[in-house]
Amino acid sequence: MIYLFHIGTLMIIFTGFVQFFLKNNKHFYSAFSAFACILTIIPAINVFIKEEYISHSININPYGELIFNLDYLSSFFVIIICSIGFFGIFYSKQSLEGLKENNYHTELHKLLISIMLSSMLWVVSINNTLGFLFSWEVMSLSSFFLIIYQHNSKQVIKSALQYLVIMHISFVLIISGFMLTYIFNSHSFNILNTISFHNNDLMKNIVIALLILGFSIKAGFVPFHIWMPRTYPYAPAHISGIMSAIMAKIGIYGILRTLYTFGHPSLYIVYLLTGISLLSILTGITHAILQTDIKKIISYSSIENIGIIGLGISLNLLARYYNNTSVAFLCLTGSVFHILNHSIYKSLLFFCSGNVCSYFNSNDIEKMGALSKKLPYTSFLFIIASIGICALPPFNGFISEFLIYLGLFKSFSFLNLNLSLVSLISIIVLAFTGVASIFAFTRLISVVFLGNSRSESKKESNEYFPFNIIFLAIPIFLIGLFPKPVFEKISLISGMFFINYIHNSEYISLMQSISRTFFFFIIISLALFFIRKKFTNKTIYSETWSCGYKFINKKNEKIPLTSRFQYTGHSHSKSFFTLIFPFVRKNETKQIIDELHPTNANTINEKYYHREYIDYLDCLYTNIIKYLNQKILKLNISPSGHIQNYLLYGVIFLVIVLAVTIIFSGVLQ
Amino acid sequence: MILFTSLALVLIMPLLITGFINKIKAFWAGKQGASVFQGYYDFIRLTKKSQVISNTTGPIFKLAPTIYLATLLTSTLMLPLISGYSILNFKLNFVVFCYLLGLGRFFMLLGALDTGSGFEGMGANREITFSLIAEPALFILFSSLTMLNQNIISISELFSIVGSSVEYSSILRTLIIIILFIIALTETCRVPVDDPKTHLELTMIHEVMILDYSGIDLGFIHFASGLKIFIFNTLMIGFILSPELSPGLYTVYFILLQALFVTITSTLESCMARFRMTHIPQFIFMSVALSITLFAFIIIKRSI
Repeated sequence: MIYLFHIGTLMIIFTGFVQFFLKNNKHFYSAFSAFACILTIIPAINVFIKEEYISHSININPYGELIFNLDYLSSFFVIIICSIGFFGIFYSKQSLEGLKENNYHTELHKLLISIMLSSMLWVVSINNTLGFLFSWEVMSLSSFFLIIYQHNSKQVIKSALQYLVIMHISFVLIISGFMLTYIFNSHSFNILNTISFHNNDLMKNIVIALLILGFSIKAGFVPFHIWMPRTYPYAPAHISGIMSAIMAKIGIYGILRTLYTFGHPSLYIVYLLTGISLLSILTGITHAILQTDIKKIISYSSIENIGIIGLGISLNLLARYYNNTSVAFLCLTGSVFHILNHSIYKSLLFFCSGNVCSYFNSNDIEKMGALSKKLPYTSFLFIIASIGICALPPFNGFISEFLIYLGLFKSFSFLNLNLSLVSLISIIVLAFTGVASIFAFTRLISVVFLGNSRSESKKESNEYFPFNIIFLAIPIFLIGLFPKPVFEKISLISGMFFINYIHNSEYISLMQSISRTFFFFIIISLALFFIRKKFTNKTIYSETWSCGYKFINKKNEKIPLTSRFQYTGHSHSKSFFTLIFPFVRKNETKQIIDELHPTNANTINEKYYHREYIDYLDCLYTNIIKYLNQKILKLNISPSGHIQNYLLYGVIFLVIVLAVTIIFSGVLQ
Repeated sequence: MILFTSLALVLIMPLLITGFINKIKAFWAGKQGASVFQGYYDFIRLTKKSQVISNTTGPIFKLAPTIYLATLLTSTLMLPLISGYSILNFKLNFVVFCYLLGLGRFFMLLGALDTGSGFEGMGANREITFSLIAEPALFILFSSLTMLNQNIISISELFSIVGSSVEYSSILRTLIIIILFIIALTETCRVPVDDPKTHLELTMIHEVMILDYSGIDLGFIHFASGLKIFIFNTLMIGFILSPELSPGLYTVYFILLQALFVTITSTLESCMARFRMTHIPQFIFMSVALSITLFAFIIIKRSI
C-alpha cells in the first residue's frame, strides 16, 4: 500500500517534468496529475478504513533511515492535500488560460505546482528530521516561485519577497527547535516519534515554544499574520486557493505533531497559545469587515478560522492540564474537523474570487456589483461557501463549531475557576465572531454579487458550468447533513493524543440529532417553497420601490435607480468602525468641497475622498523596518554590487559558525 | 395530544399575537382598532395577490422569506412549548437554535441588499450591528445556567434548573427574564430598539428590509415576525411556569402569559419613543452586562 503512495507522489513530479516537452497538449498535465492524486489518496483512506498505520523506511546510508509514517494525523492531511490539489489542478488550467502573457512561464509554473504538492505530501508523511526540513524548504521555495507568476507587476515581486523572508524566519525557528532536541536528547535524526527530555522541563518547554512559534508563523496566527493579506491578493487565484487551504494547515500539522511528540507544554505556553488564538479570531474578523479588496477580505477571514482551530487546540491542552479528558477530546476533535471544513470552503471562495477578479481585471469590490446575473454559477458557489464559512446550519461549518462549543460548555461542569473563565471568554468571542462573519460575508456578497453594477466591465461573460469546482461544494452539503461517519473517523485522530482513549457514544447520538434537525429544516423549507409556488400565480417585474423615487430629468425621461444609491462596502465598514474604533487605524483624506453645486461627486473619484483601515500590527512592522532602515543608512554601509563580496560574506559566516561549533562542542557535552 | 396542541399553538398564535398588539396599541391611542383576527384576513388576502418583483434582484430575493420562515419554524420545534416537551430535544440544542436564527438573518440581509436601494442597505447594516451586541448575551446566559447545572443541558432542561428548589431562584429568574426581555426587544424589533410602524428614514431598521416584498412573501414575513415574538415569549415563560403542571393547565397559563408579555411590549411601545440611534447599542449592551453579572453571581454561589 505504501508503494502506491510513493508511486503517486513521484508521478506528480514526473508529470510536472514531462509536460515541459508536451507544450501543445493541454490536457496531459491535469489528467495525469489528477490520476496521481487519486493514487496517493488510496493508502490514506485505507488507513482510516482498516484503522491501522502504514509505515515504510528507506535506508539512506550516511544519514540514517528515511521513515514514511502514515498514522491517522498524517493520512488525514494527505487526504486534504490530495483532494484540494485535485480540484486546484483542474482550476489552475482554467485560471492560467485567463492570465496568459508573453513572458509568463506557464510550464515552469505547472512544474512548480507539482513540486509543491509532492513536497507537502512528504512534509506530512516523513518521520525523520532531515527529510522533514528538506521537504519544508522545498515547499517554501516552490510556493515563492508560484506566487511570483505575474512578475510584470512590482507589487507582486515585493509581496513575494516579503513572504520569502517571513517563511525563512519561521524555518530558522523550526531548525533551532530541532537542533536543541538533537543536542539535549539523542544524537540521531529520527526524532519525530519518541522523545523524552529526561525531566529537563525547561529545555522541553523552550523547544516546544520555538517549534510552535515557527509553525504558527506558517499558519498565520496574530501577530505573525501580516504575510497573508500581503501575499494572497497578488498571487494568482488558484495558488491563493491551494496555499490558504493547505499550506496554512501544514503549520497546524506541525503544531499538532510537536504536541504529539513532545507531550504537554507548561501552562504559560498554553495560555499564550490561547491568547494568540483569541486575538487572531478578533483581528481576522474585524479586518474582514473593513477591507475593500476581495482577496484581502478572504485572507483575513482565513486568519480568523486559523484562530478558531488554534483555540480548540489550546483549550484541549488546558483541559488536559486539569485532567478533563472529555473537554480536551471534544475541543481537539472540533479543531481537526474545522481543518477539513475550512480547506474545502476557503479554496472554493478563492477559486470563485479568481473568476470574479479576472472578469473585472481588478480586486476592488467598490467597482463590482450585480455579478449574480453575469456569473450565475460563480455566485451560487460563492454563496454556498460563505454560508459554510459563517458556520450556519445545515452546512458543515456548523458541525465543527458545534463540537468546539460542546467542549467549552462541558468545561463548566468541572469546578475550576481558570478553565471556566477561559471558556467564558472563548464563548463570548465565538458568539461575537459568528455574527461578525455573517456581517462580513453578507457585506461582501451584497457589494460584489447583488444590487446594481457600479462600473462597466469590458469583457463578455461566457461563463460555462464549473465542472472543475462544483464538486467542492458537494462535501460542504453532505458533511453537514451526515456528520456521523466523518466524526467517527476524526475522533480516531484525536484519540491518538490520549493514552486511554474511550469511545463515547453520547457524542455520536448528538451528531445524529443535529442531522435530524437539519433534515427537518430541509423538509420544512421545501414544503414552504411548494406552498409559495402554489400561491404565486402572476409575477410582475418592475423597478425597486425605494419609497417612490422618481427622478425626471429635463428631457422628461424617468431615470431609474442608479448604482450610486446602494450601500457600498465603505458604508458598512463605517458603522462597524464606530463600534471598534480604538483597535483599528483609519487613514482618511478628504478634499473640502466649496462649490455651490459640486459636479464631480458623481463619479467614484478618489481625489475627493479616500479612506482605508489599517491593522495596527501591520503598521508596527512597517514602522520598525523603516526605523531600522534609517539607522542603517546612517552607518553609510552601501552595497558594493559585486556578487563576489556577498559570497565572501556567506563564506565568512559559515566559517565562524563551524569554528564556534567545534570549539564549544566540548563544553555542551 | 401534546404534540398536536404544540403544533396548533405554533400555527395559530403568531398572527393572533400581531392582532393583539394592534388592539392594545389602539386602546392606548383611544381608538377601537382592527379586530384581533385581522392578521389572518391579511394573510389570506396576500395569498390571493400577485407579486411585484424588482428587476435588480436575483433568485436570492425570492428565496429569502421562505428560508427565514423555515428557520424560525425549525427553531420553534426545539423549544419546549407544553410541559417541557419539545420535539427536537437534545443536549446543547441552544447552539443550533441561535445559529438557525442566524441563518434566517443571513438570508433576510441578502434579500434586502439584493434590491440595490439605499434604504434596505441602511436597515440591514443597523440590524446586524445590533445583533452583534445581543448575541453574546444569550450565550453568556446559557453558559451561566450550564455552570449552575454542572452538566450540559438542552433548552427543556434549561427551564427546570432554576426551579424553586434552588436557593435565590426568584432573584435568578427575575434577572434572566430581564435579560431575555431586552434581547427580545432587539430581535423582534420593538420599541425602544426599532419602531415597526415607521416610514421615516431615521428610524428604519427591520421594517425597511421588507419594503420590496409583496404577495405571499410578505405574508410569510408577517407570520415570521409574529412567530419570533412567540419564540422569545416562550423563552421567558419557560422560566416562570413549572413543567410539572398538567398539560391542559399549562396551555391555559401559557396563553395567558403570552398575552401578558405581549401587553407589556405594546404598552411600552405606545408609551415611549424609540431611543436615539447612538443610544441603542448602549441599551443592548445592558443585557450583556446583566448576563455577565449573572455569571459572576453563579460562580460565587458555586464556590461558596
